[in-house]
Amino acid sequence: MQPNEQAAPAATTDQEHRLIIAGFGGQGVLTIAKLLCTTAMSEGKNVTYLPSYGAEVRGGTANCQVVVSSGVIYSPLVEQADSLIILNQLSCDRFVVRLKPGGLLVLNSSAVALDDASQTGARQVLRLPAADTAARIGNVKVTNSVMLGAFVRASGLVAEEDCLAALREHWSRRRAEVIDPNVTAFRRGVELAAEA
Amino acid sequence: MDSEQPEGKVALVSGNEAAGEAAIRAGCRFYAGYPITPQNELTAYIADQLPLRGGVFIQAESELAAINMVFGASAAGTRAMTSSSSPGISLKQEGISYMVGCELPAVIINVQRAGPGLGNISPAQGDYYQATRGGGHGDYRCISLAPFSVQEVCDLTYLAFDLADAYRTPVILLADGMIGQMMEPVRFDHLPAPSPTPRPWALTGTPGRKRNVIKSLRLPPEELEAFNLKLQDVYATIEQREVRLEVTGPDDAEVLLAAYGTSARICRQIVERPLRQLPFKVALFRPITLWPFPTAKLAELAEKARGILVVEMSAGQMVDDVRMAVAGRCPIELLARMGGNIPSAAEITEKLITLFA
Repeated sequence: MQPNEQAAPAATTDQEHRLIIAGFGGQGVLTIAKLLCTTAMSEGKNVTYLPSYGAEVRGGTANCQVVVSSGVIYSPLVEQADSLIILNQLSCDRFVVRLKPGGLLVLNSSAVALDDASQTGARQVLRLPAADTAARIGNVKVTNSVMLGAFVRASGLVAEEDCLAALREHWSRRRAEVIDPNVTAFRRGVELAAEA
Repeated sequence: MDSEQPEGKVALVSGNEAAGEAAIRAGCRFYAGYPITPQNELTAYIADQLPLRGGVFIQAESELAAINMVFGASAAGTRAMTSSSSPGISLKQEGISYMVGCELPAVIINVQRAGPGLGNISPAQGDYYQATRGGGHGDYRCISLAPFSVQEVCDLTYLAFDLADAYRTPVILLADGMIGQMMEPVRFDHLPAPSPTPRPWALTGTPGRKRNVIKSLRLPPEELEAFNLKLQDVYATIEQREVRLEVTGPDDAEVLLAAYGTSARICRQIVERPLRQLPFKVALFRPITLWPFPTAKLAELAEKARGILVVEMSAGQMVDDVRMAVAGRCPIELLARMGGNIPSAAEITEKLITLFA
């Protein structure tokens, strides 16, 4: 029995992407993770989603380890990340050392300062004023959707349209006041990454 | 997770939720539990779903109350379950022992956390002895199943109800915080409709039949010993028929990793997609039933192995079963992490190289 059997059995050519998403509780860290996972699943890939749990509260720290693969996923732990999506300073300080050389670092620059990013060895450091962008859209709660859109564009991990569909589905039981700003924020994130 | 999983569809579900859904699909119609991290999503899922699907959910006033409610529901002939995490499972041991004494089926899920005492809420495997050696007082064993993926949580929870019925015994599903909290794609549509065995022994009222008595008190030593022997017969049958395991990796592996649950998941990474090339071949021996332990298969593998590295999230408990099975056929080493730490693929790799390169 394979740990997860949605996609074909493992081959050495499997494309596997390991990432950590981290921020304050309430910033939508787990929502980013879940949307990436459901999108990847809709594209026929395997996923694991491993949240920090239990002692987390609004304002505390939250993080989620996500693995997306065209093959079987064995360890769901992200010891070395292909990508980091960081929403607050505390998480930046804690997780930046886990980025693989040549990895992708996406920072919410509204809340995170990283003076010398060259030490991370990142292939790309994307500094997005995500919280400020969300505030301009009219709801700071959609900061995570800005980050998600930017990550999807910069990483190419999943298709933008698939992710947007997953985002609409995720919020489908809410009113337009919730769905629309999230869609706008996602698109703005994509644009910001494209401009970078 | 949305209320009902559409047939044929893969859903992104946590281990805790998968256990709840599989239990309901297995025909569980009574659940009592008391909250504790890291298994609360299981209780919450059952609370949401079971009443809508013909069952009874009770949030009990304590773990003791919960297990004794399950005792009662099972005595009345209902497929019943409780779940908790390590400290809560300790509290349930008296009830489990009584259910064994009464030959009552039940499913008990332990989403382990680190101990002793209140410990912490992180994943651990320190309850192996408790799960495989009976756990409560008296001379008994419980079948113990150890899933290492969310899909396996689903499949083994379903199986647990059938095994509990077949042998009239409590069955333990031994997961841990990582397996409970992790989400993975899972399907449920392959699970057949439940087929609970007839329960002529159940307390259902006595229309047209002799009165049933369910009790664990057997005062005359001869009577109790006869019952003890009957249990031992059942256990011998279980040991013969219900051993489940998985071996992955090359047939001619020189070194074996032995692990279950979360630690097996990490070991599997090393076998299937190593972080770096190892100068020897490695396979993984993974018990799925912790009791009955796959003794014969491990003894066979040990004949041709240079050595075995047991990886556990405890001070080393399963390693005792490994030693008994291997009986000196090859050296046995242990990598033990405690306190809620999960051994990393990197440290297991290092240990393998230090020991066997």
